[in-house]
Amino acid sequence: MTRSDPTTTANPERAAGIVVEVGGARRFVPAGIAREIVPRPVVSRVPGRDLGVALVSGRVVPVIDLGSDREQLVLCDVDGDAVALGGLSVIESGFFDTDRGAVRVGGERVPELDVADAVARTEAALLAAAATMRERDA
Amino acid sequence: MSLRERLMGALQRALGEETGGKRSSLDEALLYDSQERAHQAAENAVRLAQAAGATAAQQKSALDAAADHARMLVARGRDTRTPTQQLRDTLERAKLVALNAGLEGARLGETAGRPLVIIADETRGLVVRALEALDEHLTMLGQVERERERLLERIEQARTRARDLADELLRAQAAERDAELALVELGRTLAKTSSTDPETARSLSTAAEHARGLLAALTALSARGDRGQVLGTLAPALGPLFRALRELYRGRQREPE
Repeated sequence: MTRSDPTTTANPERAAGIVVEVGGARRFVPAGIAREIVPRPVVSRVPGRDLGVALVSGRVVPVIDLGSDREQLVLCDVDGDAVALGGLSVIESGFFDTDRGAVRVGGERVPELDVADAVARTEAALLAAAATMRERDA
Repeated sequence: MSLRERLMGALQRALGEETGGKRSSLDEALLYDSQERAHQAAENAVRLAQAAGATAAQQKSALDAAADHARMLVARGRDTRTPTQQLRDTLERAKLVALNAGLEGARLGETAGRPLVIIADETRGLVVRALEALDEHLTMLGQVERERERLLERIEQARTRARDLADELLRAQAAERDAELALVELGRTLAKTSSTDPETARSLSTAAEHARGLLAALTALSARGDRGQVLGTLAPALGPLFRALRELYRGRQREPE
């Protein structure tokens, strides 16, 4: 079976992906980013951060918790790197009607979850913390 | 002197009640009678308390069995949680499989992936409904479990009360036995201090009781008038009575002082 470009569908008015609920709000994750939904394994947490490390499908991946839900992880592909998103709950998967950079689910406009931004913010916070520690040690 | 006064006087004389302030044979007879009735009542009370104690013991045994049964029900209820939780976990996994199938179908594109997305969506809907039903079931199981625990608490309370009742009945039995012994002792003391033997006292008491009844009936009849007819009717019955009383009275006069 030939796989199509997951970021778009043949019909520009339709988008492929999953809809998640995080912190009481719904967000859309495109199929080009979301790779797999897995039960949450044991996550080794980084103290003081919403970040951890877990073994998912035989690979060690970083886990970023976006909320308090503790049942699933969404394994994502961000610029070729595997990142797992936690603290969310997947509601639906499939094709959704698009609506000005968002999708419509049951009449509700659901904006896209900016996974790259979440990863970048986590990375920036970690680098800042590391710099603080270096300064303290010096 | 009225008929009543004459009869009472005759009876008192016959029974030797003119004792000048000392306890008469009639008094002693009444004492014996009271003591005997009290003794019988105490014996009855002991028997009843023993029967009540036996019933309380049976009740306690029945409650013990009910408590064991309720405890077993509570334990069984807890046991059913494990397979139900396993069922829930399995359904959660099935939901993830359906979501992943939908995601995979979406990645294949609308043409190739649509059938997979439709099946995945349908499957997910069924699993979600099953999960909702299971959650309702779990809620009801929890309620039944709480009810069972409350039932067990109530049975335990009833057991405690049944045990208290059995203890109190034992104490009551002991108290009634003491009362019975005290009444037996009273009977012995009475026999020692009395000039009348118990058998005679019993006969005297019976005679006194009947005499009181006769007096009451005669008093009622004398109030109705036509005394001649009354005496005429009663003569066959009263004649032997008067004779017996006279004999008693004469016999007493002949006794040496």
